[in-house]
Amino acid sequence: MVLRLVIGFSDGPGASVGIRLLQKLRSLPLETHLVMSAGADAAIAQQTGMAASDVRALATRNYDPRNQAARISSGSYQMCGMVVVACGESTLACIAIGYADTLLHRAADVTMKEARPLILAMHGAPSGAIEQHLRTLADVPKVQLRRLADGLEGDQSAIDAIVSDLLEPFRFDTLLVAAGQ
Amino acid sequence: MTSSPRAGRMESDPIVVAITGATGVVYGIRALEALREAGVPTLLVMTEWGSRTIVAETDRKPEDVRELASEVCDENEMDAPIASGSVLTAGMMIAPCSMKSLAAIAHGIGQNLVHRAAEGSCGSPRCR
Repeated sequence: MVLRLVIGFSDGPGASVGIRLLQKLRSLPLETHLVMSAGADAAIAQQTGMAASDVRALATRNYDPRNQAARISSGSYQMCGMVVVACGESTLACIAIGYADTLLHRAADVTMKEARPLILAMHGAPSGAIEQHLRTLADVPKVQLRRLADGLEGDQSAIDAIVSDLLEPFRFDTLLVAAGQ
Repeated sequence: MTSSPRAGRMESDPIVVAITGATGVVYGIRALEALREAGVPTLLVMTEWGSRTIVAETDRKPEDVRELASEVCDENEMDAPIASGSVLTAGMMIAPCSMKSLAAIAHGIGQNLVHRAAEGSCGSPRCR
């Protein structure tokens, strides 16, 4: 059976973590299905100096966020779950209220509907309405929220540790052994 | 027939029918047919993904479904009379109602005419 992981990449701080995650997943025998939000390109360029096209090239498949008919919008398409990193505040709000106006939000909706792990990594300590959304999501089974610390850029070992933590719920350890790592 | 809602008043208030992007477009289509048979005027708002779902789930063409309604408004026509809660309608049904539409209405996001008209309907005495 083919293992597939959906990666959502939106526009909050933490682009370097998303990139490192995609790089690490390339060494594993699984498919990565990447959907970037409209703001991700600018965020990647601004935060890392990398071209978004080079980041897209790291994934097995790429999707246009406007294409709601893509296969990852259906729960019957088998995947082991989804990681959203970086998860911007507006992305978090849309996922929390079920407002699936892009494929990224829709894929997250479906991941929750199918009770697959959904890992949302956002930066900072949100307040106000966003804090309410975090509480809503904390009550959804198999949803895990991760906070990204300040000043990660350039700290490769810290980024690696975060990436391992984001992937922990998927139990890919056996795949790592199989891949000789 | 597809005419602008501003072209003229209908004889009685229409029932607003919205078809959005979820499985079950047959219910919206059947409702339009039944209301037409009963002589009740209808005002249809079909979203882009409602239209695509009609193609995916039925043998009908979206333009044939539009023909079933007395009037049609585009989902982006935010200046249509039904965008205002003070315009009288006989009520509104959304069939099928996508999860996105449900969330948008529940949270008052109002990004298209379906959401706006639903918010207007919720404020009317017919909804209580």
